[in-house]
This record gives sequence, C-alpha cells and structure tokens, in this order.
Amino acid sequence: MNRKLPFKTSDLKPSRRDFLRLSGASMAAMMMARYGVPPVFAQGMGDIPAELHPGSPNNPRGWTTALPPIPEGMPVDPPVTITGSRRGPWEFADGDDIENSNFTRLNAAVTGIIWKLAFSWTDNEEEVLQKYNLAIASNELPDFMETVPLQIYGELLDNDLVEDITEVWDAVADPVWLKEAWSFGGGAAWQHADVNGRKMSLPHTEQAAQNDKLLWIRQDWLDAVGMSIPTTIDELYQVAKAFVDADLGAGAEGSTIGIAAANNPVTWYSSLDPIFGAWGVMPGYWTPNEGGDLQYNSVLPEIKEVLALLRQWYAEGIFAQDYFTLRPPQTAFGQIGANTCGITMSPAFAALFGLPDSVTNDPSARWTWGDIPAGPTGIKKKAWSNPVVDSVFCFRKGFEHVDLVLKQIGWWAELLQNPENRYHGFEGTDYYWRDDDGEVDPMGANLDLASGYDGNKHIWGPPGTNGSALTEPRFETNWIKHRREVWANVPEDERDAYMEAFLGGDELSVLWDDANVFAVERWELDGIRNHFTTFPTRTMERAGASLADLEAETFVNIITGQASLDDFDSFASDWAAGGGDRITDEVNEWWHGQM
Amino acid sequence: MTLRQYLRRAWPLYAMIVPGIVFVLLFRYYPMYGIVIAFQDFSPAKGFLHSPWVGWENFEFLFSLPEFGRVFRNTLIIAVAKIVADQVGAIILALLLNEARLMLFRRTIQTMIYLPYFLSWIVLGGILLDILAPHGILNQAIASLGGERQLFLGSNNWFRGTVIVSGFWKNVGFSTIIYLAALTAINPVLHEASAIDGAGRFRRIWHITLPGIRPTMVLLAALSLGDVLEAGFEQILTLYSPAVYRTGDIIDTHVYRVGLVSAQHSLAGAVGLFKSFISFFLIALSYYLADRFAGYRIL
Repeated sequence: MNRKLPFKTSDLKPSRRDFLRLSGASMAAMMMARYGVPPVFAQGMGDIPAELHPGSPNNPRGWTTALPPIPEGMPVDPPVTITGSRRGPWEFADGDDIENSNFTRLNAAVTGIIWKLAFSWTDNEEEVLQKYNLAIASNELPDFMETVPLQIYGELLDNDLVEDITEVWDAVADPVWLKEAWSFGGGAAWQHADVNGRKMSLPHTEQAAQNDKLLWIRQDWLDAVGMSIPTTIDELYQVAKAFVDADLGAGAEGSTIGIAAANNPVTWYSSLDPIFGAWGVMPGYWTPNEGGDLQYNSVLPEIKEVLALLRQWYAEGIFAQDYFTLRPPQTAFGQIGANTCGITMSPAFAALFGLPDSVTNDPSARWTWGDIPAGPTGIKKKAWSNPVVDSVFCFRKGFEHVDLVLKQIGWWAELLQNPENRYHGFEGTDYYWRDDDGEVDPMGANLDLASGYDGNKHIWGPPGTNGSALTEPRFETNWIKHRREVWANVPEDERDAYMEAFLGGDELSVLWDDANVFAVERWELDGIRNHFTTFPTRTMERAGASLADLEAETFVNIITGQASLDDFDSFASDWAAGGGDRITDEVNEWWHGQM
Repeated sequence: MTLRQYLRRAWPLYAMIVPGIVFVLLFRYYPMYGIVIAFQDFSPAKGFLHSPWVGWENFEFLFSLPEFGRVFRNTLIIAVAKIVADQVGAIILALLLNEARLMLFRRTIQTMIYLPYFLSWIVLGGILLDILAPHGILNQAIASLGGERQLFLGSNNWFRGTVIVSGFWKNVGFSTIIYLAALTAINPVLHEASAIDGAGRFRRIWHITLPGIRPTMVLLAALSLGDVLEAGFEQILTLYSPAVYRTGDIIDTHVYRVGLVSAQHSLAGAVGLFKSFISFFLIALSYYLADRFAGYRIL
C-alpha cells in the first residue's frame, strides 16, 4: 500500500516570520521531521519508562528513537531543582507547560534535574535586556542563564556574577558532542565564552555556513537568453545585463532588475558580499594585513574599485533603482518572490525562503544555483558566516550543580544531533497520526505535523534552546548526508512513514540539500573572516556609530551616483581622523594580546 | 464659612483627588529620580546609587557628535513643517467638511481621512514603500503623464517632503475632528443673520466661522509647540536609509543607532533629559501664549 502523506510543502516550511527566528537547532529539527531515519530498535533505554520515550514505536508506520547512554551518576537521587531563564515563545499540548512537558519529564527521568522557570522573554532584542537587567538589579539571577546577550554578559563579568566552569567542564563535558563539536575553527566557538583563558560560559553556536552565499539564478531565464551559469564577475554582469535587456521579469514594462540587492551590501539575504570578496576585501570586516596587524577593510583601495563597478552596474539598471531603501526580507518577497529578478546571492536556505514564493507566483520559474563568481584575478571569496552567536549560556556565581547541567546538555546534544538516534520529537506534541478525516488516529498511516512545529526547543541548555543553539555546527549537513547515504539504501517496503515521505522531496528541497552540503564544504575555504571578535572597544562605543553612518552613507551615495567616486578618498581620511585611527590601535592592541 | 465648615462639606471632593495625586506622584514624579543616569556611567548591576558619576560627559558627548548639528536641524525642520501642515490642513479640511451638506458624504470622508491614524507606521511604511517604489503606483502615474520617475524615499531632494506629507496623511484626520467639534459650537443664528444680510459662503467663513474657532486654533497651535522636537521616530525609522541621512536623520533615530552599538543607557537618558528640557520651556511659552491670545488658563 502506497499512501501519500497528506501534507503540502507549505506545511513543512516555516512561515516567513518564523524563518527569521528559526535557524540551527529548530531548522535541524525540521530537517529531522522531514527526513526521518531508518528503523533501529530502542536501545540504551535503561529505566526510562516507555511512555516518556520519544518517537512512536507502537505505530505500524512509525519509528523508534534510540536514547544515548545515561550519564554516569544519573539520575541524581534525590532530584535537584535548578532555576533557569528561557527564550519563548512556546506552545504545549493540553496540560503541559514549560516546566512540565515531554522534554522535562524525560529529562527528569534521565538526569534527576527538575527545572523551574525564573523568567522568560519572546522579543530577543529589547525584552531580553530588560529581563536580564531586572534580574541583575534585583539580585535574583537564575542558576542557569540562557542565551545571555553579550552586553549583559559583560555586565555580569564586570561585577563578578558568573561562575567559572573551567575545571567542571574539563571533568564532565561530553568528549564528542560538546568538546569536539565546539572545537571547530581553532577554538572560534569560545570567542565569547573563554575569558582570559578561563571558561566563564558556554558558546551559543548555529549551523555552519548558515549565511554563506551561493549564486542563485533562474535556469529558465538563462535558457531564454542562451547563457550558462556565470563563473566570473564579468560573466555575472553579462548575464544580469542580458536579463534586464530582455525584460524577462514579471510586472511593469522595464521593471526587470539584474541582481537582487538590499540596503546593506554585506547582509544575510540578497547580499553583494561575493562581489567585494572577488577583490579579496569585505566591508566592515577586520582582517590581518601582511604585517600581521588587523586592518579595517572598508577604507582599502580595493573597496573603491568595487564601488566603481557597482556604480556602473547601478547606472545600467542591474540593481533596482530603490534597492538601498529595501531591507533583506523585502528583497526576498519583493524582488525574488515577485519575479522581477533572476539572480540573488543568498544562502542555501533561499530554496526555502524567497524562491518558493517565486515558484508559487510563476510556476514556470526554475531556479538553480552555482558557486560564487571569481574576480578578475581569480579570487573567489565571500563573507564567512560566523556560527558563534553574540550571546552565551552562563551560570550564577556560586551555583553548585554546574556538573549536572553539563551532563544533561551533553546527553541532549547527543540525542538530538546524532543521526543514528532517529530523534524526531514526541508523538502527540510534535506530530500526530491522523486519518483521512483529519482525526487524530494513533494507528492510522497518515502523518501530520502539529502547527508551528519547531521541534526540540523545549528543554533547557544549548541544543534545546529556542532560536537555535546546536553544539555541532555541521549537524544539518550530517543529516542530509546520512539520509542520502543510509536511508536511500533501505529497501522501499522497510521504510517508515518519514523516510518514504522525505526521500526525494520536491525540486526546491533537493536544491536546498545540494546547496547546503556544498556551502558547508566551502565554509572554511572561501570565507573571509572578521577577525575582530570581542566587545566593542572604547572608541568604537563612542565613535563607532557615527563612523558606520559615514560609511553607509558614502557607499550608497557613490553607488547610486548621488556622490562622486572620489568621495571615497575623503571618506577614508575622515574615517581615520574621526576615530578610525584610534579604533585601529585599540583593535590591534587586543589582537596582539590574543596571540 | 470657616475653614472647618468648608472642610466638613468639601472633604469627599478632596478624598476623590487623592488617588489621582498618588498616581501622579508614583508614576510620574517618582521615576524622575531615574534622570540621574544622565549624569552617570550607568550600569544596571550597580544601580542608581552606585554607578559612577560623570558630570556633563554624556551631554558633552551628545553635542560633540559630528552629526549633531545636522540631526538637530533635520528634527526642527521636519517637526515644524509637520505642525504647520497639520494645523493648516486640519482647518481647511474642517471648513470644507463643515460646508458639505450631505451628512452621508461628510461622515464617509471624515472616516476615511481618520482611518490612517489607527494604523501603525510599520504597516503604513510597507504600504508607502510599495506606493512610492520606482515602479509603484505613483511613479507609474508620473511616467504615464510623461514625467520622470522619482526616488521619493531614496533621494535627499524628496525625503523630507515624503515624510511631511505622509505624516500629514496619517495624522490630519485626528486634528480635523477637534476643529469640527469647535465648529459645532458656533451659533447657527449668526450664519442665518449674515445670510439674510447677503453674505456669501466665503464671507460667512471669513467673518463668522474663522473668528469662531480662533481660540481653538491658537490653543492647538500653542500647545503643539511642545512637539517641536518630535519629528516622528517610528515613521522615519521605517522609511529612511543611509542615503538620506543628510536630510532625514533626526535626533531620535541617530541616538537609536548610536545606542545600538552598546547599551548606552546614560546617553539615552541624556537625550531624553535634553529634549524634555527644551520641551519644558516651549510648553511654558505655549501656555503663556495660549493665555495671552486665547484666554486659556489652567488655574
């Protein structure tokens, strides 16, 4: 019997709004939900009662989840109560809440830890600061503090309110899913968490290459103008110009644009960073020069060359005339989605965000992707997306059970991130079996993801945090590979519901997988890294915003022709005089102190 | 009547005022103590009492920002233009609506111009971005009439105008309602008498309607002086981009960006205090003007 599962792709992709919040762990959970894993029977269950177990082993078309071995000395007896802060929002089945859900019940059985909510927030920009500031001011810090923004973290450190976890970490942290996972990039994960050689917190990391750009392009438009995927900047220009001249876009006559662009040339969607990268520079980044000092890229002469090129492109209609008034999501909806544009330099997830709108609005749209184009001297570089988020997980000074929390985090990291474990959430919470009438039917063969499915965000600690907090940044790619290498070999009649549904997938999701694997392969090779990775320096705090304004204003006015190209030179000297020289000194003082 | 007798009779009235006074003291005056952070290098962990004092440093920094002159000028220009446009527009609209005879027509128009007032700038910003886009409805109209397409949001020639006009569009309905209310207070006998004496429509507006609402006009104009530094933070934040910093960046948006780099509570406090200080004098001035020209007094 080969019944098709009743969900549409649109149920599986996050809403636009969700997407801005979603990334890393929650995306990973979605991946798991989409692709499932081969049948391996429960192992390492120990004394965990069956009703607490994730997966749905009792369903004839269901699956089981393997639990990692229970950490040594756990569950602790008597149970320990720990308070923690959490980032919302969340949604639970009837009767459950953040302190009592499938996740916390399983966690209590495994670790003996009872979690109590100290406070929570949903708005991760302002509300989070208010809540933490209030906790600091009222001297009521929770034992475990989730995704603490850097400025709060600095405040906590200055006032000696954070527990030093160096020794405990060395003793109990999981060697694979914590220690090894956070060892990428020569210790890059620890850029905030490590303070003067002491571990003061845990890193907050996301999917590798999450925002690394690829060249997304309309294959049907390429066919229409008889060209192929551009591999150099010059070819990119030729193709974009051909698209504009042929006016292939939807909408008013003459409204086709060549390349999607947003207000900031280096951004997360419809970015121009690969064009700067083709000259080996990245605006806003600090990179080492030949002498070993860090230099601010935006004032380098190569930038002027790129600006001259972009200025010419703008004048020829390669970019939307009002591109600089648009913010990144607007380009996704307004240019890509509305099909006025056939080229965007966006991350792999463009296949899920932006491009689906394009295909919905014009079913004949066929997108494809290629590597970023190379510059005149053969350089091919892009902005390296740092998977380390500007926030950390830390512990209250004097908290006695850091070891327990670290063990818990290690256990969940393995459960959620090891493809062999076949974790996909809990039946009845994260997904339902439904019959054809939409009734929840535990024995039916039809699978329905609960609305707003966001997987494993309901347990305290990095891999369960809302807003993504993987420990293994290559996790998503590992999943794709696992699915392609392992599941594809499972005979069709032995596949469970998830595998059957998600092996293959529609055109865009296959493109997404391919692009994702490719982007991660090139992650460490093609990325230009911003080497300045600490708190803003004193002069940055004071003059940084004005200098950033000056830069943004100068660049956009040069590109759009409201200023002359030679304004770049006066910008460079104004930047240096307006605090840039002092900032450079401060940055290098930090940089050389690092080594 | 002795004081004792007076109090015996009036005490319930005083008792009723008490909750209001407590409210004002608690939520309006007590928080003013937080003004001290404008003179501190404030840190939430140290609190109001233990944060180090820095004197005027935050103000000196604010005024020494290279763009301070520019943003101050932009703020004044945009805010004053908005006040003038809003007042004049509201009077004209109110007069026109007042002359309309068909009640249904009048009510419909009134509701329509009042509607944008209830939308947030985030929503209106999205709508404006569409309308004003190079291939948006406005530019299509201009192009079809043979004109040149304009970047209303991206050009320094247009940005202020766009802000003022869109602000007018959003807010004018609200101000119009106040004038319409004032118009209803004019005794219809005056209109009838002058009509009998042969006064036409414009004569009646000039000699009866306008003098009739003069106190309201003076009062609203005087009171809006307090808003002279309120150019519309949300609106500009939604509409602007680096290309129009020169003409569109205002104190609030500038400080918003400066504060983003690091949590500069004290700087934000200093800006708030600076604006309140200016507003305080302007409000005092407007109160004097309102008393002088419109006979409006609180006591």
